[in-house]
Amino acid sequence: MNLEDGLNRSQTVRIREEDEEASAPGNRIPVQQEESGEASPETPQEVEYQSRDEGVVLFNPDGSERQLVPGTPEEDEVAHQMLGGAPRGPVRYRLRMLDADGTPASPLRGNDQTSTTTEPTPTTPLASPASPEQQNNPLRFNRAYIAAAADGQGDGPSVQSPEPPTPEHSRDGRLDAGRIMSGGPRPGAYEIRDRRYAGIPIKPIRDILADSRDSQLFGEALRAINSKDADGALERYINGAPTKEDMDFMTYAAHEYSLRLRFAEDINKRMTPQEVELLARRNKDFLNLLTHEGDRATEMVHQAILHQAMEKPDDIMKMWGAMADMEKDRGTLRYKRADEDIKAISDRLGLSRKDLTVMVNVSNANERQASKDQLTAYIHERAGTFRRAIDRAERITKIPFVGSSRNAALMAMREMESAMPTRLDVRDPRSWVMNRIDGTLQDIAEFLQPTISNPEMRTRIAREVLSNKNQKASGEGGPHSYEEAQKLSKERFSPKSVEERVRARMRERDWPQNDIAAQDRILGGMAETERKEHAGTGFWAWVFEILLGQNWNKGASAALGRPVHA
Amino acid sequence: MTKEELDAFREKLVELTENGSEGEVREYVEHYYPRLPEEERRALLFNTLFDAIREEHAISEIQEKGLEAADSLEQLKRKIEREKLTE
Repeated sequence: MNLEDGLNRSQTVRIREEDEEASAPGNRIPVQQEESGEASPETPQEVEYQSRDEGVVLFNPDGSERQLVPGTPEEDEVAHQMLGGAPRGPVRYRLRMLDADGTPASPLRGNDQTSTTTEPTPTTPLASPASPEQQNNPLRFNRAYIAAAADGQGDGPSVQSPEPPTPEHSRDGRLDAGRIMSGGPRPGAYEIRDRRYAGIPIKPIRDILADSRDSQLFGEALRAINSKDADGALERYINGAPTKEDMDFMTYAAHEYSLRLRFAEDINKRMTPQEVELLARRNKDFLNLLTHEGDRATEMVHQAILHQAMEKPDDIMKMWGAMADMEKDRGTLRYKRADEDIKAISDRLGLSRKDLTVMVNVSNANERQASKDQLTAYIHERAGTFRRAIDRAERITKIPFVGSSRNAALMAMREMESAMPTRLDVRDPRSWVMNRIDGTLQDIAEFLQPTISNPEMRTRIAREVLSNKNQKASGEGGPHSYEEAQKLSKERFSPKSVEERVRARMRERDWPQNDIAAQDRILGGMAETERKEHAGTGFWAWVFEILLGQNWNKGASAALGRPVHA
Repeated sequence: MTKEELDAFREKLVELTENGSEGEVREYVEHYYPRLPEEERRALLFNTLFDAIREEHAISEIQEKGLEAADSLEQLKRKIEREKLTE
């Protein structure tokens, strides 16, 4: 359930560890009525609750937690109070939450609020307990990523592969992958006086730990650098008792993290939806990703790059170099001319650039034949009377005619192959560029494939992306008040209005008149799209979802004259 | 709750939303809450949690602004007091 995903990832991640804070002096939760039996009706006792992956959790006064059991009177009471009702018993249930910066949202909660504003000196480990950083402990979130990482990633600072630097990329002032590749720190020493960090803004650890995304990625980087003692070092650091080596390690990790993040973000800037589409044509895992995730695919690839940068910095550096090379190739006059030629062909055939490159694949004999047949059929479907007559004559006489659909398809394919040659030809400079781009895309696909193809990673990344979306949507999507819900139900989503929209769809040419299953599929898609457009969170969003379902069924049933469950 | 009962519940909920009042809708949902299927109860709980989160945020924002305003007033008061002392 998206909503749960969104809630679990976005709302509870930071507040999950607040029980430590609750047990601190001054933050104690009043004793619950059922357990103490001493509360007076005048002062209802407060019990805090939180949502977790497994459901709603209640906090006992001693700091322990218990699950809210479905179907019990207590669940009824919690729901009653969540719906805005006054406490019917001696216990008042209230939400436990934190602000974005990790401090308790309500200034009334706890007496030691001011302590969180005390800034430690740069050399002092972070204050404890209950500092925001503790609640964002990065090692709490990254088990799956680390488990999926390849062996041999950790233990000591990473020593980069000794590939030669590529000075041409540093001349224009952009990032220089060569610096990374050539200058790793000495094994066994957390050396930060390294030219690799020159010009890279180092993120303070306090800032890293205060941000949920940064803290998660930082945790991955920590484990990749030192898989043996990353947890221990971080715990000692947060608790204010780090050893000298811990401090060196954390400083080094912050430098590495900033460096890796910078490169990953630079790659992400270049990884546009068009690039993802190109990758999908070369790699089945990317095609799966694009087919399943649609518009979210690019964002998911961005997330994958960030995670991979933390776990396998060498790969990401290579990828950065590959993308820079590709960008350079695409800037050449030869590529631009080829691009213009392809655009002219797609305009002439009335096919979008994307469809043309999907339809025409001349990489091998089988694909070539299939592409020719497909393109011939496409041209024939759109042909005028004259070309159709030639096609008919060609079919009857079995003699190729100039101007037939088959001939036009062959010509277009030859032009395409000439514009963007897929095979390397030593005499054709254009083929050199195309071949290099093709090879680079293949390399990029291979770099990212392990992350993209790992089902667990895919699910986690998808949740992250969804969580971002839900966070953005939570303030704006869906009705937030009774009036808004009522307006939507009486106007856009009244049965009459839905009926009109369904009737309009039925008047379209491609409406499957006799195929009920296909009709239901189309209507289901329409309803789902409208539901997504108005999806939101909160009580009225829940009511509206029910309302939309009911009215959609009524409207669609009236339009079709049969029961519909869209 | 059977499927027919759930349909009837939804039907009535829609009717109340369109023609009733906010209080009636909440009361109706609350009345039938214990009988709703678990999945529906879970969805409702999660959604109402968001309301609570929004409310908490709004309250904390107001309180924060109040503290800021109090702080400014305090500074202003000190400034006036200093000016009075120097006169």
